[in-house]
Amino acid sequence: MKKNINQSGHSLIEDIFSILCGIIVFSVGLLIIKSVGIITGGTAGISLILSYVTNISFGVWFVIVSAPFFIISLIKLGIKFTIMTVSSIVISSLIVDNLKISMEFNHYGMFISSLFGGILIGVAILILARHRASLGGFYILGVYLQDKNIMSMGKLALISDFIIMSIGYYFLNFELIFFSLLTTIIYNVFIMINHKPGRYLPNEISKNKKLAKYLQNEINNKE
Amino acid sequence: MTKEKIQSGHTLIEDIISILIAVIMFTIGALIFKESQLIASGTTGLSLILTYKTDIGFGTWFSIVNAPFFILAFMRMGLKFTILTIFSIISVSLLVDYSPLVIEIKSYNKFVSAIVGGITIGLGMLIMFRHRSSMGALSILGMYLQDLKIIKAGKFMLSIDMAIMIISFYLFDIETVLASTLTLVISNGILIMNHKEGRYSPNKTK
Repeated sequence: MKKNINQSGHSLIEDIFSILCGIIVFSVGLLIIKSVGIITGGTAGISLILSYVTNISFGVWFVIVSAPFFIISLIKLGIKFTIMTVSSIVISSLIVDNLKISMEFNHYGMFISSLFGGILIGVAILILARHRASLGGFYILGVYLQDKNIMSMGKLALISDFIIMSIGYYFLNFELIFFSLLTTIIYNVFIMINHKPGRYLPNEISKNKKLAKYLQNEINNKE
Repeated sequence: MTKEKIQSGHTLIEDIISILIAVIMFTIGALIFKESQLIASGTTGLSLILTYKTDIGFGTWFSIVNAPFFILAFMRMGLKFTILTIFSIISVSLLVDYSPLVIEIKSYNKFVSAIVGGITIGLGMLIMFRHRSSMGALSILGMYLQDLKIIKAGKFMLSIDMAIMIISFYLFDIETVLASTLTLVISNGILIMNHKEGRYSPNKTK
């Protein structure tokens, strides 16, 4: 029963194709944000700060920052999820670092860039979440902490984003931080509106009454 | 769930926000296409060809090309669908024409743009369909023709896309045509894979 739920109800081909789409959308969103010089929350945010401060590129930092979470993921969330996550992070690092060879995003206005970037990142995270993958180390940590009943996922995301933004404030000026916050709020609100586990499962699952009932109970318990 | 539900099973606010997001995704895709002179499917493709060959901007052409279908949409699909569609088309037109003032996309490789643009346009269209709006006037015409039992909607759209590709073969170089075909495959792939009527309509929990 549990296995079915983890597998998101799509076929493997669908999962891979959708996750690839999600990664590409995420990378484009990140590049738009990077062109303006603002940051976001999560491990991507930490890597962005580090890539602005040092000479090492975003992709390298993204892999390094995410690495510790891979171990938690491997122990706690199973090999399939870990492989998906590791490959997603590596692929998106490669895309973000190398897309500039064939495509460039320049900006003239911070507002539009943070709006576009926020929306692209939100859509990407949503696609990945619906196909049971993720790009964020904090997502993994969140699942772990939530299982242990230490802290809910939303709280962890909020606290970690807050800390990252405060650290960012030392390196970036007020305007940049303001628009970073805007981006982060846009994609978080977007995910809040759209990511209701169980609401959008493919109907193959919701037709399975036993499973649907189980899922409903899960959702009710969480609420 | 006390709020009034409309057709797609979402609340009106959800529909509007999602359509706005779809509009922005679609705009980014169209900007990428425009930058690298690629052609998309349907009325978007037609407007893009017209933009490349004339001095008039994409937004204007996009509104003009889609205009005749508004009447059809109003007759066939009801007021709400028509309003949402007109709203989407006009906002895409305005955004594509005016966002170069604030964001600039440069592209050096047609095939990379084809992949990235194809995905963003495909996702934009998918979000629109799921929220019962649409960008493509041709899909309305296709559904109409299917109802009249003249031709199937899928076949109709496929033949229109083929026609656009054949026209573009005469107007543009081979690289553009190949990259545009790749775009068609990607964006239609996303739609075919994801747009299964009823598969993802929100499950009514409580």
